[in-house]
Amino acid sequence: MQNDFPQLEPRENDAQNIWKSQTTEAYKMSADQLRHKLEQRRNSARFEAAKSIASGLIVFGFFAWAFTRYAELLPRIGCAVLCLWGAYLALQGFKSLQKRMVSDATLNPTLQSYRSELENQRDYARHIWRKAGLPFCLLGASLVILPRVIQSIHSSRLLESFLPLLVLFLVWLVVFFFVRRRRQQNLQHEIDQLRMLEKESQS
Amino acid sequence: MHGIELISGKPVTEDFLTQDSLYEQVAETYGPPLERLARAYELDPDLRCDLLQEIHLQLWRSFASFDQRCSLRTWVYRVAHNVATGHVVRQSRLRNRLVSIETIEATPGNDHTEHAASQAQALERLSTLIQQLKPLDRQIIVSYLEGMDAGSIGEITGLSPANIAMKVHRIKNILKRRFGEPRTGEGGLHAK
Repeated sequence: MQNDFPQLEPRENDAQNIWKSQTTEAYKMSADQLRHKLEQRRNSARFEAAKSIASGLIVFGFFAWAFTRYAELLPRIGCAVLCLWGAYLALQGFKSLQKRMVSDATLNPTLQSYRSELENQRDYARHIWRKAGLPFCLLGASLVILPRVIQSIHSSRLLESFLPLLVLFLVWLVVFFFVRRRRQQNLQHEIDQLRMLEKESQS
Repeated sequence: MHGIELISGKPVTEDFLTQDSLYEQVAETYGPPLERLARAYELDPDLRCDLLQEIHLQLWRSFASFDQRCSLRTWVYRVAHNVATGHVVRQSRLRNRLVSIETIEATPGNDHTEHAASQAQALERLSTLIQQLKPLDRQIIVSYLEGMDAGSIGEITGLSPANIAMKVHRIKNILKRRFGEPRTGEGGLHAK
């Protein structure tokens, strides 16, 4: 293999020699093994999608049953919203099947591919709320729980019991959002650097 | 037509390039470099085996659409690095601790003062250095250690020759600092 870098010093050549002298086994998969592995991968993708769909349908079924048990209006609306959440989860599971089945290693240059991977990570973290249907979940749960909480607010003992937990939860929430924001900023910074490198390399 | 003829040193005709036969020949030619590449991305032997399997699977799948838009070697390394990079990026806790070549170069505290007594020790040090790097820098150092020229690294990564020259210059500085001249009477990287 030609090496068009300036003449290497002996020590640096050593690093290359050391690297290449690692013991390696002749690893190879037969055509049957490859096809079997691919089939396994597809089956696993189907199973994961089926699990998501089943979870969504169970949530839907449970809150549909709960809907019939409540007489008050607000909890009933809450249950209806939670039913919608279950249906949304099932739909997301179905959609993910297609994505899982076609996932392939990209043939793009590695710089571009790395940037895409980081962008996927960023988008995943950014849209996790929407993808998991959490607005439906929180709205529905609030409608079911809040009327009960409001009814029992006059009991000071209840408030005393829940106050430490509430404070801890709020502290955790603040730390969580702070760390998450910092990670997102670092990720975005790295993506911007890679974009700049890409631009430089294209010009 | 790019470097298809490099397979086993024989010219390869297009009708011969079926998915299976292409994979078989590539696995034979690039088996050891691919295994070293997997070691650069994963220390755990079990996970490394999974990663290597994944690289082979994705290579085989990719050969169904091999269109010679680039040389076979570039194709193989692009797929392998992309699969391995995906593996690293998905481990977000690990990813957050990775640093660039520039950071390592600017941190003199990381240099080892004593020299590696054996090849195994030297390899361990080299692996530790590689494992600290962000994927793009890892791709460059691995390609460099495999003896690739700037043009080939550029084709694989998509970086400009100027950027690669700068990175390789830094890699060489780091290697020189970490695997420098042994003191008199000591072994070192040179000792084999």
